[in-house]
Amino acid sequence: MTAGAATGQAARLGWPLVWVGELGSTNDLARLLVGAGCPEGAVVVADRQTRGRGRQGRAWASPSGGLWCSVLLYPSADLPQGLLSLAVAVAVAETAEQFVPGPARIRWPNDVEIAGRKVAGILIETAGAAVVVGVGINVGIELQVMPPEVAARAGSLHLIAGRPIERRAVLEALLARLADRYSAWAAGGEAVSDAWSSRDMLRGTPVAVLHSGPAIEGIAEGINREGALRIRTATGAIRQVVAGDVHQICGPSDPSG
Amino acid sequence: MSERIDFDQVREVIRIAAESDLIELEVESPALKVRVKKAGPNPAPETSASATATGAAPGADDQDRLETVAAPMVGTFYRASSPEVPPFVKEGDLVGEGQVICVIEAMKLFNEIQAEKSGRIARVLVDNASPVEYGQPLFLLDTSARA
Repeated sequence: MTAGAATGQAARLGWPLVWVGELGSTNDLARLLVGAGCPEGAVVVADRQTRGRGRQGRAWASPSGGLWCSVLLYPSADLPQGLLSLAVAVAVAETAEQFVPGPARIRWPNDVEIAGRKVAGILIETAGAAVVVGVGINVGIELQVMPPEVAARAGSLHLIAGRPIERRAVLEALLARLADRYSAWAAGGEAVSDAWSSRDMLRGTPVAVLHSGPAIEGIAEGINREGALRIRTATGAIRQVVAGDVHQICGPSDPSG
Repeated sequence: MSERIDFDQVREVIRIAAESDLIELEVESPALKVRVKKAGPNPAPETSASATATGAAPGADDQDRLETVAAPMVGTFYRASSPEVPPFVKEGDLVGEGQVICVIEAMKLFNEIQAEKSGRIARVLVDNASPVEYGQPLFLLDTSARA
């Protein structure tokens, strides 16, 4: 329905670029741009978000110093979209590693962590034929401005790198990595699965997935073709989880457990 | 997997009930409890599966044509885009073709689900923030209603 809807090949991301001082949420403005007929690759950046959000309406702290952005994509409708969420996580992890030492790992489905601290969050929404990819990266955030429960497990790239980092440079790196991983996803996704799996921080660890109803507990065993988390339960059965909160739990050999 | 709910079975139960003279049919297995009850003189099946919301039966009317709106994917069902805004639709609302009626989240990707036909939302079958399976009935839509 959208003229020139891209299939992901050689995607160029970053035009038009809308950079504003303060917004409710970059995803919300990006959705308005969809309605206005904005093309694939449009990007919205805000210095601050007043209503940044995570899953289930949780607030996502978005003070000055972070890179809060949304990218507009028009992927082909017949592609497996769940894996796109994981492809974005790979792109964000690769971006972070261009600025800090140490591997960036991914907590299913798409939280990016460095040295056990979450440095980025991703929230993706469809809007008609468009997909709005919201990415928040803690580039230069002083953790004391974050809510205490967030600061306890959050990290910021500048603290890990030990030097100031330009948000503009991170944005440019992100758009390049995202274009690359988006193309790889559109081309079949195996490269995305492999790259994601090499950063999988839950693999082999005991996890509990909380949702309505009883928690699913077992050992995380990577992802399936669609990007669902595979969990081997005590009976040996594999459960495939697509949603819910995943928590690492202490194993019986852990003396602190 | 034996614990998995098989919605083809649910549909089969509904079909059998709809084509028979039964007024009410209950089928129970360890994983699933299905109750199908006909709503009035012109039988239109109404269903409730375990873990789904139940409420008052939709007003039975000779003109009612209830169709099931099924989940096109596995994930978490949300009735609103966030907890602080009203649901996309509620029972009794008229919806147009293409109107967003709910969101299903999988892998932290929130998919807008649009009505494929216009009609009146006769029944919301699933609680907000509940997990849904592929093909699970989400809404009953009275396609005889027009805005």
